[in-house]
Amino acid sequence: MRSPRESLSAEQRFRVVFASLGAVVAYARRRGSSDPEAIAAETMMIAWRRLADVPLDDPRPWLFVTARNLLHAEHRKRSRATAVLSDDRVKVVSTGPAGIEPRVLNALISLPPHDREALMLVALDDLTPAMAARVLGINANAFRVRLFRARRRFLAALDEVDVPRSTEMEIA
Amino acid sequence: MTVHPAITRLRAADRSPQESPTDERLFTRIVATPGDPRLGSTHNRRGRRRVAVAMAVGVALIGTGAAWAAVTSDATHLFLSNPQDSGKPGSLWHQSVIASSVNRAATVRIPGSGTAVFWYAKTRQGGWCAALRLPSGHWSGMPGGGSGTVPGCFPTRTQINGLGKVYVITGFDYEEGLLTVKGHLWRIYYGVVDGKQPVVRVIDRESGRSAPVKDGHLFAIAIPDADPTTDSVRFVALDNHGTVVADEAHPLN
Repeated sequence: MRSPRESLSAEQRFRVVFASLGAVVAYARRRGSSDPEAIAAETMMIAWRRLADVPLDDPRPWLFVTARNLLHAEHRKRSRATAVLSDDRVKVVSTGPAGIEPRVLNALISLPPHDREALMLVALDDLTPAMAARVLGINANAFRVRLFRARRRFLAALDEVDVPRSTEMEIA
Repeated sequence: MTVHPAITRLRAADRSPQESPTDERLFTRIVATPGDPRLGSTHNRRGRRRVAVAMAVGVALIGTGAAWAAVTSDATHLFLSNPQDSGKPGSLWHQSVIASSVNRAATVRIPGSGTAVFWYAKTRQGGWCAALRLPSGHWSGMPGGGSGTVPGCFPTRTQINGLGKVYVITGFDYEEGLLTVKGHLWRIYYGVVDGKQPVVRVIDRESGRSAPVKDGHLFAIAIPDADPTTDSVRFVALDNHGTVVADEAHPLN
């Protein structure tokens, strides 16, 4: 039996996805995009063209993965000189998340990229651990371990960090 | 359920602005473009009109006894009828084909099925027209032609961005048709590419498949798709020295 959502027209389906536009803008802004609105618009355009792939229950994990790929492209272009290759993945240097209290931002930036991203996905992007695991392409159990470690490291870093340092970070 | 102090602390420190939840102009601009060919209604937003156009084209063909030799005329008629058109004169999507520019731009062989043909034309408004004729003789995206972008004439990505930024300009602009052959899905990509230098070949980095480029910017390529739930192509364009002159993963400098 078809669920009510399966019988939606394409535009109605996309309307459900498009409701997450603000979340995608915020995701891109927090990861230092120079043009988060453009990243979000391009993400939505891709979602429209790949609509059958986008889960309707909560499209944010799919949208965040797409936005992250676009962010990598944006940062590669912007910061080619600072890009380094490691483990077949491009790590790029970006400015830190916008709008975070400086002391907390410094503690966040001091974390390893994977730990920081785990923390941001849950605390700032408001994803459940299961959804955040989908964004990072790991299983939920592995994500919970990473989040546990990240929370502990973050609190420890908060105690240590007093003076603002560099506000550059790598996107996980 | 208690929230971990680290999460609470981080949320309290977040001073980023609340994002606007909707942008109707952006929504309208996006859904005016071709959607996912796997969802029939995304590219058939004006389905009844398009069916009527297709029937009119079919009746015209039957009436004139058109044969295979008349396919150029057939493509011209298709672009003149412009099933993709929004029907609103003056809108960006109301593009008018230049009939003399209609040409058979590229062919692509689908194993076990035959040859698909990409028909291309320019428009008076600076856009382009595209249609994919499947080995069965049907137009992809039209009745009998299965899933695919509805044929017709489109504005360029640069033109669309003129109304407000939607696309990252990578040099690539293409449409997609789907064909199932003996249970295997093929994605046929056809369109235009503009590189920093004249382009001679397009390669999909994911599958390793490649296709020649005609007139420096027109291509069609078929990719077998073992997993239709993934977006698994990444095209790059090469010049005659084998140098990458456009990469859809990067903005075109």
